Amino acid sequence: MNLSVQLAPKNKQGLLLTNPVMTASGTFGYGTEYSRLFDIQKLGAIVCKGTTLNHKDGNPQPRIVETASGLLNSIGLQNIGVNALIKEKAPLWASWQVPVIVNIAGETIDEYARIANELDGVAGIRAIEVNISCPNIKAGGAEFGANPKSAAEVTAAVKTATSLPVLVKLTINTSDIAEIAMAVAEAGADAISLINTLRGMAIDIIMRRPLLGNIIGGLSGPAIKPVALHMVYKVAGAVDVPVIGCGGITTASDAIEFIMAGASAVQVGTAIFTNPRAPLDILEGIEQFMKKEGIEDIAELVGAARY
Amino acid sequence: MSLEAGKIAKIAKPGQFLHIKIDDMPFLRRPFSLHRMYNSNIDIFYHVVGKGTQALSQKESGAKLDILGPLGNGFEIKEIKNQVLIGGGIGIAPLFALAEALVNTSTQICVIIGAKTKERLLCEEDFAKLGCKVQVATEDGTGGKKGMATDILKDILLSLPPTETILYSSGPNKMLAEVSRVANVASVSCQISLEETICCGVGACLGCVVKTATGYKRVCSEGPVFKSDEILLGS
Ligand SMILES: Cc1cc2nc3c(=O)[nH]c(=O)nc-3n(C[C@H](O)[C@H](O)[C@H](O)COP(=O)(O)OP(=O)(O)OC[C@H]3O[C@@H](n4cnc5c(N)ncnc54)[C@H](O)[C@@H]3O)c2cc1C
Ligand SMILES: Cc1cc2nc3c(=O)[nH]c(=O)nc-3n(C[C@H](O)[C@H](O)[C@H](O)COP(=O)(O)O)c2cc1C
Repeated sequence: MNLSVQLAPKNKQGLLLTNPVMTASGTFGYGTEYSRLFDIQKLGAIVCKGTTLNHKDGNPQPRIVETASGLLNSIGLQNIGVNALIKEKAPLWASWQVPVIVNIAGETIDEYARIANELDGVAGIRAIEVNISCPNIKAGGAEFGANPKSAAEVTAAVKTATSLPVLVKLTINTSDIAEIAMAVAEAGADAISLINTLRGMAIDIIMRRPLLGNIIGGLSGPAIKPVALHMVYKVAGAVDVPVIGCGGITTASDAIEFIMAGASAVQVGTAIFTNPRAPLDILEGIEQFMKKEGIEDIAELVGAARY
Repeated sequence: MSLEAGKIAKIAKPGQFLHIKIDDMPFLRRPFSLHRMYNSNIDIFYHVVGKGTQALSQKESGAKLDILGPLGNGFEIKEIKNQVLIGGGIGIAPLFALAEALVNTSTQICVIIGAKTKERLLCEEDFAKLGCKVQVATEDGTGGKKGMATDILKDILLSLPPTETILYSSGPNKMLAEVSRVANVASVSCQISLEETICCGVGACLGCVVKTATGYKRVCSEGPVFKSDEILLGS
């Protein structure tokens, strides 16, 4: 049975995963946090926490609110910064079998380019995922992903700054996601991942104030799955680079839905908080499904439900 | 509630917690301190405050639970002559496991328990049975001294040499802030156990942070027990 996927066919270095199940940025730390709970080397890839040029403190508490079948977060990209990441995390990753992809975010196009440049050629880093979709920071973030021109500019700047495969992660807090996806692909993105969280909020009616310290946050988890699935379906029909599906994936059948909608790989996020082993359970479920359906190569499933 | 969890019990330390998946709803796991450990059993001690704890209280004897743990850093036990434990409300839960560990050392254990009313005073007899010196305070005066547990703490610290005394506390943030202040004034080393909404439980999501002198720290993995002079409570 062949589960491997090539996520950057046009890139010299390529990004070959042994299987299509990855972890979503911000939900799996730097990988090390989960290594004592299960064999993380079996994963298709790990995407680490969003990384900025300088370290970032993040947003005030509270940062987490549970909602119906979902989760609102306003972490605000708390992270150690790109230089600390290169010094403290990458050396360990270099000894790992599982590829690590660094998710990056900037406040200006120049910042994105500088981070990408720092990461270029660092052992242990196999690709970059450009977050132009974070709802939790004031400047930059989702603003770049909200229109095709700026989305393409960020993509082009990052591509110029690095020879690593570049994934671009889109927001759906925009008018036409297909248009953005096409602009990003045109600008050289090796693959597109989606979706990031949806903007949302919750209110404490006794205190008469928003529950999140940052007032608004990003919604994730099963609650957003149908929306995410539709967006993946739409984008996969608009571009010819690989698409990575994400949003509420909790079970193997969720993952297969995304793959049939046109995703070449999937990312598991919030589900990990309730079941740390979720990505491996999903992988095993996909294998079982393929066995049962007599499918030899996962590629046969990609886009299988497209009309 | 008593849980049979041999693998966890073997390595668990007082102050650490268990992250329990209760049902499909609510969605996230819920954190509970180790309250008491014996053989392969771990007891947790909790108040029903919402949907998760409600569902947990409805589990039948023999039910299987999905438990992640032990998580976090527990209390750092130091064999100093005078051990003072001060807990408010359900915050007393982790202090009992701590007292159990301390009785095996040659130290004097003094426990101060605070609550709103006499009915809400927890574990008074259990601590006494262990051989701890127990003092209680209630806000309405229905049990023990009328007032705050921290009032008793101030009195006790007056008679103890700071360098031979150590303080451990768990309870509402307001109480922890006052305990930290008193400890600081008295120059007594103090560890506090903090609560925040815990999401992943292993330090990955950065949801449960607390403000410290050196930036945000994660309650689930860098705590829940911290040195009191490190934490900026209420800021
Ligand atoms: C490290 C740690 C150890 C804990 N140990 C214990 C323990 O030994 N015994 C015990 O009774 N409780 C303990 N708690 C608190 C316990 O986890 C919460 O009471 C529980 O998660 C509430 O779940 P729920 O679904 O019943 O309430 P929800 O429906 O989620 O909320 C009901 C109310 O409880 C409050 N609440 C929810 N989660 C927390 C929380 N994590 N901390 C404080 N308040 C909360 C909410 O603000 C709300 O007002 C601990 C918390 C932490 C972080
Ligand atoms: C706590 C938390 C932190 C996140 N941090 C990031 C981040 O730093 N960068 C990013 O691109 N996405 C981040 N995300 C978004 C996820 O990677 C994912 O796109 C989103 O949560 C939807 O997937 P899910 O429903 O499986 O969680 C975060 C999500 C959560 C819940």
